Amino acid sequence: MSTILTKRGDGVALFIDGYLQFDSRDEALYHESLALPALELARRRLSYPPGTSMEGGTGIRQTQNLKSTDIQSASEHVELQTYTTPLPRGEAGESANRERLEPQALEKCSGQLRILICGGGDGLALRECLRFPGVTHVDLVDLSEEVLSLARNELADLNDHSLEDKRVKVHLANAWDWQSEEPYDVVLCDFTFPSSDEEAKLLSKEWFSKVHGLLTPNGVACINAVSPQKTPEAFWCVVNSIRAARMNPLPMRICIPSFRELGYGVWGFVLASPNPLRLSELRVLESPVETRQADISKLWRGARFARAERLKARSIPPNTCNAPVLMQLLLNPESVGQEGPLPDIEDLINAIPIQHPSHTREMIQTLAEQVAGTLKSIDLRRLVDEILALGHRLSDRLRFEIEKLKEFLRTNFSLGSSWREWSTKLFATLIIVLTLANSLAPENAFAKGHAGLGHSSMSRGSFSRTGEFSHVAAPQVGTVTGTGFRSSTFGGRNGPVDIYGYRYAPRVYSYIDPYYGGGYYYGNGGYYGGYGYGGSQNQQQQQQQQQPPMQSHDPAFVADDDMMVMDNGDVVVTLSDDAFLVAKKGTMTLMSQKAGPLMPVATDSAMFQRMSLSLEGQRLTAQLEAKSREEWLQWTGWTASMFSSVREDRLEVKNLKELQTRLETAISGMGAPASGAAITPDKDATELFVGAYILNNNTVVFDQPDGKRLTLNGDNLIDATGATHKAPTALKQAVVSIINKLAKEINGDMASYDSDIRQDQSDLNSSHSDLQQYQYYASTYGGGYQVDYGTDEISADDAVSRTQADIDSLTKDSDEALGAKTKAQQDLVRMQTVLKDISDWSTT
Amino acid sequence: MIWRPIGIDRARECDELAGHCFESGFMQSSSWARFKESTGYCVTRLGLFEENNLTGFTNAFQFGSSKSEILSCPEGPVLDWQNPEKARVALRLLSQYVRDEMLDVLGLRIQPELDSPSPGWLRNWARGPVDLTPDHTLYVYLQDSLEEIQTRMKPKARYNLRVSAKHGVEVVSAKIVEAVFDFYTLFQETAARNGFYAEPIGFFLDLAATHFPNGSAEILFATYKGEPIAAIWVIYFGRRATYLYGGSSSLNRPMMPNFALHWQVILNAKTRGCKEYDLYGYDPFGRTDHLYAGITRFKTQWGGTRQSRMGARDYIFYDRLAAAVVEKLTTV
Amino acid sequence: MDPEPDILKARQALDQGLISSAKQHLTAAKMEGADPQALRELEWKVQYAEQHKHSHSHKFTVIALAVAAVGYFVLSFQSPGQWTQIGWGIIAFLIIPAIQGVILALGAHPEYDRTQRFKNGLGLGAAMMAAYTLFNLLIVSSKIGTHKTEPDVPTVVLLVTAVYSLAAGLVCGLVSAMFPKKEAA
Repeated sequence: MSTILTKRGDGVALFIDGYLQFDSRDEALYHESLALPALELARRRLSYPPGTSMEGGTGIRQTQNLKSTDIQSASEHVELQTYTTPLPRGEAGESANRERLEPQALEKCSGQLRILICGGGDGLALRECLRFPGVTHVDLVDLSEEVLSLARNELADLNDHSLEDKRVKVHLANAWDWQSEEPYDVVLCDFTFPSSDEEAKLLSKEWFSKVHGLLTPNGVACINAVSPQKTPEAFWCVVNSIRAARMNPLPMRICIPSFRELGYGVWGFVLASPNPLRLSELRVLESPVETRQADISKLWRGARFARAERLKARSIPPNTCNAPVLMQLLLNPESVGQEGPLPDIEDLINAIPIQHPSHTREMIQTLAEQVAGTLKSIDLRRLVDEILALGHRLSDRLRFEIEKLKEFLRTNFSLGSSWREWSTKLFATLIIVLTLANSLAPENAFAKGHAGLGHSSMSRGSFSRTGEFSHVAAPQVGTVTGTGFRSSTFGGRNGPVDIYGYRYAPRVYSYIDPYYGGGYYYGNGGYYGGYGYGGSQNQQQQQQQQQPPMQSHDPAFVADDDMMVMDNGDVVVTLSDDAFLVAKKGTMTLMSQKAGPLMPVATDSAMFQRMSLSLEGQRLTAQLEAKSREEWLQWTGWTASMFSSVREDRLEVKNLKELQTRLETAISGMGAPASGAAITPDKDATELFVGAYILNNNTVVFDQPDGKRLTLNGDNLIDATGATHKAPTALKQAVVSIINKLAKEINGDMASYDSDIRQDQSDLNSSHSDLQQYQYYASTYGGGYQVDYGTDEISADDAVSRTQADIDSLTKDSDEALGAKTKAQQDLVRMQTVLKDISDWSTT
Repeated sequence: MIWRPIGIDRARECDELAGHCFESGFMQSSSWARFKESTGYCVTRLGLFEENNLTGFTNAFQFGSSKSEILSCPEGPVLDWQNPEKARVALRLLSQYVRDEMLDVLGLRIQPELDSPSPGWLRNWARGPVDLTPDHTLYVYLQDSLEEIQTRMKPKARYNLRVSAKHGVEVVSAKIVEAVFDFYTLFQETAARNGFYAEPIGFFLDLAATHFPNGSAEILFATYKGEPIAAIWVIYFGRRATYLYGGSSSLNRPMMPNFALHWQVILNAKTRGCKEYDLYGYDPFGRTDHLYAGITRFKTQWGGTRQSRMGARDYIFYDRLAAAVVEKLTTV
Repeated sequence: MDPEPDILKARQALDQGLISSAKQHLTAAKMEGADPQALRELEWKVQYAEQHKHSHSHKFTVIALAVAAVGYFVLSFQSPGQWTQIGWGIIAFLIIPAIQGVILALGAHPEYDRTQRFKNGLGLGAAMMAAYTLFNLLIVSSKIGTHKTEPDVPTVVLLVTAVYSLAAGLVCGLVSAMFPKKEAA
């Protein structure tokens, strides 16, 4: 347990196990609300036990009669009904009025309150108890020596030295084991927020049964529960646990600013008593002592819960020691009512419960995916054998499936991607079990901003290649947090901005609008004439004359790592420093930074779809963001001359609206390719970008929109008809820059494969030599001879078979890595050949 | 040689052992164990005794509330890894001990910082799917003089270091819990900006509460005109200083506060007698499309020496795993 | 001298709610040696009326409050721009405060002078507008990510709230003060 007392603003705050216990700025609100209602209810019950009738002849009743007679006599001639406010109806209402009339009389009868405080070692709830009239004895039971010591020293001023009061007995003990011969009128449970099933026991049915046993029949307990706002299921679980312990719960919520500041939500307490507790009792409650922050008379408002909330409570089980559910409900609030068959693996992974307060669904999912991808660390054959050994516990169908799986494993060691076909249920379960087992320490692997989770590469998708995904921003308000839109313009020389408002380094793209002058592609220069590498000299000259000047465009908006929206609304996918693709009217043009349009390339409908989805999502976000700011300005716009932030808000709205228009232009301008135009890349080729490959004969081919191919070979550009043209320099330069960039990435991958292969080879070598040794031992001393296998001692026969299996698996891994490396190498060699050829061309 | 549970009273001895062990690190320290305990983990402290002398140990972690877990020893166990024969026996005894004494454990995960490729005698320990510490990292060796360290740094880093000094960026050290709130603001901003997961503040408060009092960790703030603009969280344990978390505000980036911060760590760690500064993870293959390419670029500028480790290794108790799977299968 | 007319006048004044006038007549009646029984009864009534002087206007204050609350609640359904800025201004700063003012004026005790009525109107109108403005500003601002780092925002919120409240309060107060109402004798 960690206990941290820290300065917070002008006060102090106590954190236990990372949870805020109190903040001195509003602790009175918490402790008064926890202690005073229970104390006052108990006091009233002690004075007027429920069921005592008005005619019961108590002293109070008589004094009240006397008093009202007095009033009557004094006001004989005055119309009484206008003189006094009407009495609330009901017994509780009557008692409230009695009290209003009778403070001294009540004081006399307020009896002697015995109080037990469980937890609450900080002495603050105790302070509230001690200033309450009639309190004769308080037992404080807390497990933490550290907290008690804080209460006696650092917090002594705050708790009015309550631990030193003569009426108080402090016990350093576990509340769970607390026993008392004399019952208590009030029990306050002020435990820390539970972070494990063990701690959640103090919010279980068994614990509340103990509390029940410690209370007098009219006694009242108040329990510090959990948030009914953030974790309603867990809150109602606590309420139901109290009910299960045969006590009558009265839940209420209270708003504690410091709790809300830390995202704990509105907080919940539960009053409980062996005798019925009604909201009406709370409604007329008034504190006999002055309060500092809480308004006890208004607490009843927090005890009203909507019907829907109460109905929800019905489906929630109580928390018991045998079936602890509280932690699960706290960490997985959405899990209630999700039982039933889970159809596929994604759902199964979603159903994995979060088990630690600082874990998130995202972490578990990533972890599960990681485990699923690394099943090879499990020896499946051994596992299946072990599972079958427990076959009697499985259904016939499952056993049959697993037998089939075993057969399958015997014949095909590698499961590869086909494992889904084999007993999805078994594998999903295995993944769940392993993920649960691994949930131990995902935070070690997360969040450090380093190698990511585990040891696999976590690379980001790119728009420029086939089949790779990129994230699409879901529209939501509050996304823009950076200041990128809060200046006179965004984009341009200031550098482009992304949807989060963060600014990027500026870069200028120079190109010629491919549609300039209309039909530029198919101009008079013949099919490819427009690009200066086709048609006759004459046509080229004509073309030259027609060619519009290059225009510089600044990216205004960074839609993704490699996708930009230009100031004119064009969508650009960057390929390298020199080359980029411009998507327009359902076509894609390869551009050179220096020379403008190089050629149209084939379009991939899936890529266009991804791009427009991403842009549309971001447009919606911009729209929502602009709307909220506009509303703000409608209220505050007139203060712009006084506040720079309002002026910046104005700029932001203007820029966000401009962004919307720009994104609209971008989406409509980008268009969509003719349906069905999907590209499936040649597996053997090296993909440079969508529709451009290096083939195994070291030629670069470009798929054209019409389905034909252009081939770059040597110094020549060959079209589909076989006609050869001279390749333009700009095209060669663009290809060089793309290849250089790609080569860098592939080199990185190569290094990674190399490292894998080194490991596999080293393992293989030692496995081979060990295998020989094991075989020698087996043949010399017999199969049962005990040998070292790794750190284990097993029989020689077993060692031989396991080593053989190791060798199989290592060979397979090694082959895979080698295959990948060979492909990467081949790609590199091809790239180098192309590069060499191109540099040769450039020099000649 | 025998493994048996040890009490918290041997913490000093254990810290001594782990602090000197190159293959171990702060995750085997008593402070880290207390930290994990405060976040709800169950720590099993096991000592390795040879003729009643404590020659090795491990702090093994398991999350308290769930059964059927893999017991993990990050940066451990602490053994004489230079002596393979002894280490092998010790590991065998450890797996046996866990199997016999800890019945709800599905397997054991260790990650001593041994170089890759892993030694052949660990072949029955499968490569784990999750690493407990980064398997590739960079060490800045601190036994060299400051001049030598600077010479190994890339020129750009030296330049940026000067830039931060020129702008008047000052570094202040904080070892009080209150500093966590300032740190957290910067950390959260960075997490939001880079889209990675941010632990809740309670996590850092616990980390502070368990590490600040004995001085084994500190937060360094880079301040510009008195405002904190970047911060890093460093743990000092035994022979090593480790950079654990960092955060910076998106404004003031041109001040290069991160360079000033890491340089200060180097100075502090040298003063404390640390032998290396662990930059805690990078992508050794320089993949430009890697999610952490940016951080890798930053870290490689410090001229650290590359460390490639074997990563986490799992020893699975197959019968128990099977039982757990069967139990789940019958309930799903 | 006959004390009866004074007793009668005091009773009439009381019926009209004019307590000070009733008191004057009561004093006069005392001086003139009126029947002690009648005097005691009148004294009680005056005392009672004094004690409950405000309760009548309290009722109207609550009504004014409720009407304004409903008005501003409905107004919160849309942003000012959606109501059109002018329409919104008229409803928020003229219509609702004016209605409040009228209700207050109707309920005001006959002895309240204009200043008193103005003050009451100012307070109530300003309070309702402040609640409405503050609530909306905080909600809108929380939706804006960039506001988290703007130190100005709380000041803007407070200033706007203060100015709007003052405006609505003035309207309400003026209407309440100017609304024709039977004058105290």
